[in-house]
Amino acid sequence: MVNKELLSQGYAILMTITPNYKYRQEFKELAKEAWQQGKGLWSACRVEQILSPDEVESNVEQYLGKIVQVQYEVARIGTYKGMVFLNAREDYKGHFVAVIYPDDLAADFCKSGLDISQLKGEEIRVEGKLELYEAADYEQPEIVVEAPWQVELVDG
Amino acid sequence: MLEFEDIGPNPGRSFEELWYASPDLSKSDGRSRRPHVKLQEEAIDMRASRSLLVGVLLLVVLFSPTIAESGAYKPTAELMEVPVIEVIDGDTIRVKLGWLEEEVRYIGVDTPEDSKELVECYGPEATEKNEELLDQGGSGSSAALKKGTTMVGYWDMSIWIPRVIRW
Repeated sequence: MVNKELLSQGYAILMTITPNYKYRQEFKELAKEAWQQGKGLWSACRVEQILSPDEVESNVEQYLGKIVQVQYEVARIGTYKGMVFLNAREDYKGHFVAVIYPDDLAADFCKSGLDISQLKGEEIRVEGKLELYEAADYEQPEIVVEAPWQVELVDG
Repeated sequence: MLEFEDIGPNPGRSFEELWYASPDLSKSDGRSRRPHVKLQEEAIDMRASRSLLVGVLLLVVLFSPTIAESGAYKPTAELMEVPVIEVIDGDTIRVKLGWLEEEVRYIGVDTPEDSKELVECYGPEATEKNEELLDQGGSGSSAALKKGTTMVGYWDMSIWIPRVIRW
């Protein structure tokens, strides 16, 4: 299957769109392996330096479309229609955010041992493709988290 | 505090949301965190009309004597084999459905953009890889497409999963 090849060789990231669930767990495993092994874009497009939300926000053009690792203290956990936002700022508009869509939450996060509801005030590192979310009155850099391995709790 | 009860079955991201989230419409609700989600109802309306059109379209394809005789188009319960006309980018191809051409978007994956408007890191490589995978059978590949359940392109076509077959 072409989809699987693209994922396992690191030419694609995950994007699960409701209701195409059939291959989702399989695809997630393939993506995780590609990420662990640094295949394709997971090396070629990866910014090695760990970034702060400030660094991302002031250099959005530079990092857009790249695989970035953003480390920050979760200032706010927002929800909207089942989506969860791990905001880097209390005043979230225009600031970096990690977005977790409900399907992924339901499928993985609840059983991954990472309790998202407890992350407020915790230092986390989120890895994924940096994208720009354009709202009507503001825009902000974000990472869409498709799988639990993209979020890591940082000690201390 | 979060209420996980709230996180249940949900429309999620659909192509409608992604493609019909025009800035003008989203301005109608400035407070909306995710304007495209608010467009869901409208998107469904549009989908309904398109479903009808595509339903007709598929019927035409299925019962076309031209295609049946040519042998190029072999519908099974789920899988059909169709010629690939063009690789558009890493996750999109154009295929021939009878005398029609349709854009097909692979499910579950997202390759970096590689278009006139935007070229992202590894976009061209992904396009090349897609071409290479589809060409494994030699020149003139076909793809076996499997019917899925969301839309492709600007039509409410099903999503199909290609695999490589010698054409």
